[in-house]
Amino acid sequence: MPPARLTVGLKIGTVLLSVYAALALSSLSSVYDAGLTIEVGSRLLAPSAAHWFGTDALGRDVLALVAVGTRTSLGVALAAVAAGLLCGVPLGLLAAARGGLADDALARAGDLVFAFPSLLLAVLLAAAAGPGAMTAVIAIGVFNVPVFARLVRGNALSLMQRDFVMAARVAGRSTAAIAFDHLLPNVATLIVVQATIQLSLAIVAEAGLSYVGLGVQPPDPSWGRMLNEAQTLASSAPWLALFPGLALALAVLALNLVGSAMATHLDPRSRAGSP
Amino acid sequence: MSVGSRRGDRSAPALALVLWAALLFSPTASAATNMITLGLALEPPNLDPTATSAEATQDVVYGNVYEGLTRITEQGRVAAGLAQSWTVSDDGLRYRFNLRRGVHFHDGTPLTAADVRWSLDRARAAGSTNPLRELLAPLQAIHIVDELTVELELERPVADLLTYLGWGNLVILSPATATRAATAPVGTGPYRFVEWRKGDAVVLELNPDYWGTPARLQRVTFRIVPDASSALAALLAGDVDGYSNFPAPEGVAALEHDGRFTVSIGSTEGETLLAINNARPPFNDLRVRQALAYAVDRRAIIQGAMYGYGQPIGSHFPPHDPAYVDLTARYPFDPAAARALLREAGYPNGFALTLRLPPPYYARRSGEIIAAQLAAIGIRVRIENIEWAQWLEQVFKNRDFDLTIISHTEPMDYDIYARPGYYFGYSSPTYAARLAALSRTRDESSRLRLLSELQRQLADDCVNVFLFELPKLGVWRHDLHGLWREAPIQGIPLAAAYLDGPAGHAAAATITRSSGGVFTALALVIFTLAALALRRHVSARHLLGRSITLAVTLLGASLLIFLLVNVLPGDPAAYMMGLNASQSAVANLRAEYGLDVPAWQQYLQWLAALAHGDLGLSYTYRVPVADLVAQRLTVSLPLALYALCLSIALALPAALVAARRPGRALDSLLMGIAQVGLAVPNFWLGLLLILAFSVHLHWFTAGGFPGWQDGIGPALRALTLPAVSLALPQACILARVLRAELGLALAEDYVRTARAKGLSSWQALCRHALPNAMIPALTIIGLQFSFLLAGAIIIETVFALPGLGRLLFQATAQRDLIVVRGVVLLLVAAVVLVNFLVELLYAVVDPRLRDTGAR
Amino acid sequence: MTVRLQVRDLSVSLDGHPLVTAIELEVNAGEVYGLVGESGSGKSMIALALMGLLPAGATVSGSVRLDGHELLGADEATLCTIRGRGIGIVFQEPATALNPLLTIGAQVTEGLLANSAATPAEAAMRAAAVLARVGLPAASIPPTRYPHELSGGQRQRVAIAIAIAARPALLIADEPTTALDVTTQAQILALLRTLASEDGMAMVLVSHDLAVVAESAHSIAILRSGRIVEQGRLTTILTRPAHPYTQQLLRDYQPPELLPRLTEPTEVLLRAEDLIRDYPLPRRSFFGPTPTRRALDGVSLRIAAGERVGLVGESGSGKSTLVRALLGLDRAQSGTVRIAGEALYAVGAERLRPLRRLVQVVFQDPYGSLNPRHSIGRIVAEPLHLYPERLPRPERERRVTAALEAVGLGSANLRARPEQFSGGQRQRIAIARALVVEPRLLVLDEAVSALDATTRLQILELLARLWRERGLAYLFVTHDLAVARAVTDRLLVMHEGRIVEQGATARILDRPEHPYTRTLVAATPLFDRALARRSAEDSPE
Repeated sequence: MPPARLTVGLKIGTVLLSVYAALALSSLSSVYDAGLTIEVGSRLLAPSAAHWFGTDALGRDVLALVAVGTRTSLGVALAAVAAGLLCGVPLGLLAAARGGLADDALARAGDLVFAFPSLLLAVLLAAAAGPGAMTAVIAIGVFNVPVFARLVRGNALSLMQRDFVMAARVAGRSTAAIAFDHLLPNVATLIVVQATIQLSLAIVAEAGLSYVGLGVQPPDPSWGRMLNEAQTLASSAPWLALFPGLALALAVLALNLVGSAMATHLDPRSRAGSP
Repeated sequence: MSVGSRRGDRSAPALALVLWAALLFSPTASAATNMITLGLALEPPNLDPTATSAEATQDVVYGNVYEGLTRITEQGRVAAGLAQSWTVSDDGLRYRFNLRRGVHFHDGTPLTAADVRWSLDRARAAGSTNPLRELLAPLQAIHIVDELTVELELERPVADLLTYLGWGNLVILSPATATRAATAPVGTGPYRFVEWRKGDAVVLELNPDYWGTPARLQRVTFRIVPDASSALAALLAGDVDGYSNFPAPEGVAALEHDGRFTVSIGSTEGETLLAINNARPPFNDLRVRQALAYAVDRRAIIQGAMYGYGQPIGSHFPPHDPAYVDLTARYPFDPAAARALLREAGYPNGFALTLRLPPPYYARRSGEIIAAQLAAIGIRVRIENIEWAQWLEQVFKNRDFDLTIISHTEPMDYDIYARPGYYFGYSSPTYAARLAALSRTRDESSRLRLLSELQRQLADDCVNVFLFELPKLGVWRHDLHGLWREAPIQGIPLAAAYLDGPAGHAAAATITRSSGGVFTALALVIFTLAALALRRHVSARHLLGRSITLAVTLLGASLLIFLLVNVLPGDPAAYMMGLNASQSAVANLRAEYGLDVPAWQQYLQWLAALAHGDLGLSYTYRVPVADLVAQRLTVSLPLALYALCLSIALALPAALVAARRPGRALDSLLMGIAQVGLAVPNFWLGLLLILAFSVHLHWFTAGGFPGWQDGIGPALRALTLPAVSLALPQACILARVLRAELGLALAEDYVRTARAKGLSSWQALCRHALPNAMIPALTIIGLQFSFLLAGAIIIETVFALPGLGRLLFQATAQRDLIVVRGVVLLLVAAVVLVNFLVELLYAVVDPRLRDTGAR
Repeated sequence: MTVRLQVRDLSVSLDGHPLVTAIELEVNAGEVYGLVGESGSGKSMIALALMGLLPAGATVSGSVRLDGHELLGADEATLCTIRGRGIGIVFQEPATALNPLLTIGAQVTEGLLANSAATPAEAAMRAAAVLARVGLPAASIPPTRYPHELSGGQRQRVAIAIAIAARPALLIADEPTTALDVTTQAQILALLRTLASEDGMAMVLVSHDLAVVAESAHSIAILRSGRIVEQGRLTTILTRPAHPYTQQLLRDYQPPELLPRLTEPTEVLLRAEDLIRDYPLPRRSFFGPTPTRRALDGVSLRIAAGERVGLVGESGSGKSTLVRALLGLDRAQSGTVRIAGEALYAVGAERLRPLRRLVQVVFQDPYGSLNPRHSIGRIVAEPLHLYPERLPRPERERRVTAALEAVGLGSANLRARPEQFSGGQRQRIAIARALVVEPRLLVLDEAVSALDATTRLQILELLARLWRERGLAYLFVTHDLAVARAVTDRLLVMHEGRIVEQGATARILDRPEHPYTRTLVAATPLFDRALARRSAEDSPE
């Protein structure tokens, strides 16, 4: 891949992510409170100077909704990926360092989770636990656990064969010490790259769940829920479908750009010189 | 070692090809004329109106397929039905009905007094699941006077008996066909049942032997369009000709200005309430309830949630009824008064409460606005959106709620306020006494006075906050006439409906012949792939080992699924029986479903049945789950294959062209497009595609599925936009993976060797790099296939396709647990099986993975 | 003699950096021309430039004529016909040079079909004939085999068959034997020589190994940093090198003097008895026992204090398994290992630490044996965990600095990361890590194999000094007999999981007794022996 384009991609991605971070942070303050109040009189106004993104069916400002939706959407996605990381990474390290029964059990459990097509488990969980942000976090998080566990296990296993791990064993280090001193730092960058990818997947999954009504519930705005509400009004008020969708697509794009830039930067194969 | 003889190896793919061809070129049915398609928001759980109170069942069959002794007119009056006339004894305890002569059921048997007695006896029998069973309690005996005369004997007067007999729950069935009424109703009505495509449509056709004025439509299709957004799209795209009650009020204004449609706003029997748990503090304090009533601005709710449609009400009574008293001014919108009352009641700073909202749009939308309005007087509202089944379980059955919003759509249902243990938690001896008096009273002016007293008492006691009468938003083609504006009763009677001129319609309704075709198709895909794989050396050892892993995974999955599904809250039986069902009827149904044994027994029974290939019988549809699944697979499987083919067809050339000159402009451009493309969520893409190609360009239909019997063309057309929405992001992923793998393969020594042999760069790319890059790409393609099969859930919602995903959603919402289990297990099995096939394909592509034991 | 290849003023640069500058070559029919240089000297770039297969972004100037036709600047279509028919090439790595998804027959046939009018059937027949010619007759190795079903040597024969199938005028062999064992190497070199002389091909042999070139080439060019420093007849240059770089290269290549042993060994440091280790093979039938391969088959050995023991054998002979078993990284299923009299497998974790302090290890790959995320201070200090008590920080730093001083890196920054050091320096760091706990036996697992000649010599000198100063014992695992001769007193020869011969190093290398040892010694390209033979060939002319 040409380095020039990636740098541009990385820049675009970083700028976009900063914008989202700013939106999410600003929504913690009260700047959007006025825009979020239900004002039946000013419903379905097209984008204008007063309402840059227009208003929705209850007269709320779409920009405010998108901004607050950033917080919920990113929040759910971040929590889900964090949950996956926190469970998956130690499990993967354990499986790689220990091997044997622990490894087999983890592999089978991972197979089982992967056998459920994406969203299917979420639908079941949402039906069981009731829809909501927490359900979405769990349903998406459950999928992330084996992703990280497998990534860590696979790479840690190949690291286990490397001479520096052998040297550490000759140096009398325990399995746990090797896992945390030698394996973890060497898979950390891979984990970070994978986490950005998982984050973008989680954002889409959250939006999908909310879109079909299984994710974040009213009155909390989320991009997916806004898209669902926009669907009926798509022909008369297309801005309702346009802006949350764009926000969603750009967030995913930004994460993908940053993720692939990092992956390319870190991949020794792409850094290798001429043959 | 090689499995199978050489001969077998060769003939297998050939046989598969022949079978494929046979499947694709099967004969197609022809279309008919003078027919309409009406949209329904909910699918009927079954088609027996005497076994369920589901409104959708009445919508389809009441007055069309089935008729009662009396019928209710559009104005809500009782008129002659199957009984031409009747006499009532002076004490109101004996009703004698004279049946019409020459009435035949659709199967040709004549209607007799015996049928009437049998039908009413069935409805009031001990194990009956009829929602009106308890209202029939005063019915003591039914006498057959002669062939066409029947007499009902009561132990006490029931003033509304003639009205009850006009309701859908008490229609007349024939004993010979009643057992099949749930799936194949046979009645006396102007239309007869043709077919029910689960999740998609119910089709009726003209009954030429009707006793009365024959209907004027040749064929009526009720198409299920479950979500509001698809409803508008389906109407605009001409997929449906109209809605008796359009589920998306936000779209109605636009339709009113659209010359293609008639908009006819009427009223229903649906009183929409902010229901209050009167038994729970602080709501047991009248002042708190009154504060709630003052705090709610009905006008803003009707404006914001209903887009201006719906009439405000002040008590539990429909405005179109002659006995209606306007009590909306009893509690005008007055936040100051509300705050004062709260202070008085001891809540100067308000309090917190939970508002549980069932799924209908009016509830969810009104809920948001009410939450905002209550916040203005200091009441902090936590909104909790729940499924129907949870609503029935938590709110209706267990009375575990503070507030909820619900529309009570049954006619004359003011008796619920006198029911002991009803979920409002309201109990008033005065009210019960007035109701009992009403039941005894047949004098019209006394009845009006009593009804007025009932209304006033409910308003004074502020049992609930009465919001508005649910409107009936009739929207249909301007050339369609004869549909009811008002809805005094559940049902969409179409006896008088007709189209102007020699109308013909494109949305042809037809017959699904066999669902077995899908399983054949599925088996063929697997067979073809397996045959290909086995042609080369895949060892029995490998197959056996993988099969064992496969079986273990499936067993684990089945247990996990059962555990998850079994902890789902909600009772399928309660859901099926609806709001007015009695506890005993629900218990009967639970026993019928086999839900009365311990969970582990249910699991083992399920497993045992699975071993015989039996997925069980659907709770709601009362048909084998396997048939339901097979029907849905005719949509989901072709859609997945279509999308997969599109994805590969787009990704492969793009990746090859990009990899040919790495780092050049074309490479950057294509991969840049792919980068952007894979960020676009498929359901948003679907929305945009509908906007562009259906709403504006009219190139494709906005949703729905015509079935395969009209030939491959229309079906593929219907699947094209969904397939594109699914395929584009997948193609982007595949293209990027393939491009990256091609890049790695191109850096390999063997490509250099190939170039050194004298192969051109294109030859080296296609003959050496591509096959090697395909090995990792195969994994992605396998994952994509399972994603496309199961992950199309959302796209099926966007495009209103009757696929597996929608079946799963519906079944989950309806607590049809056995269907949920079956579908989830099938999808999991599909994933596992596809992975298995991908592994076999590895061996086909990669000789290193073939067994070399024979050498 | 006809000149087949004529290269004039060939320069290659990649993204503006010159890789190869002003190369002049002339190769006659039947002549073998050796291109010698260390890695990074640009020799492979010349080979690719001749083929017109330079990586994207490379610019090339000068002139390359094959049988009088100019190749530089020719269009792609012409080059496609030149490749294969005009020039064939054999690459270094037989494991990756063949497409794993195609049969070997198909891969040879493909080249024949690419630029000729032959029918597929004709091409397949010719391909079978070519495969037979390179020593892969259809009777034993049918053309329907896939590359993964062949040994490394057989795969390299297939690569040669692909290169010579269309009878090219020029054959380029780019490090053709580097990845092979010595016995196979000898056969492949002999095959290449035979083919070149039979077909009258010009051959360019690219290698970093002077001995390999000395065995085969008629003329030679010495490359350094992309330039030819000296070229001419092989015997002339190797016997009377004119350029200082050539002189240094020849000097570094000579094995150092074997230093005299200080004392007679008395105390036995390590003793292994009857070690057996099986590895499971993939199952063939689902039921029944798992098949195994015996990697160690009753190995016994002992190493005394201050003794330098060599362990030689080809890849797959069981050397690595033995090393792992001796270090306790992998447990043999039967047999014992005793360190200073204590049974390694029997003691618990606490008693294992003092034993591990006695025996430390240095691995082959200087890039893989140091954790890239750790500073060298941390890396060298790691074995200090073997002390029961945690050493105070100043003491740890003192020991680490002392160990680094001992290997000649006394001034190194302890916070630096491995990537800031060269391969030779990293190997010194690895030795320092082993020395920090003051072991008495150092296991050197191919510790100098990945280094170039100059660095290798420096490390060998370092090891000799440490031996002198500290009386360390070495177990020196290597496949290189010249290295073994240079630094070991006693030699163990391993073959198929057994030690087939052992004794004083000089005795074994000069008078091998076991048939396998004899083959091994005969196949090893020895510089002096090769030079002597070539000089003898030259003198009658």
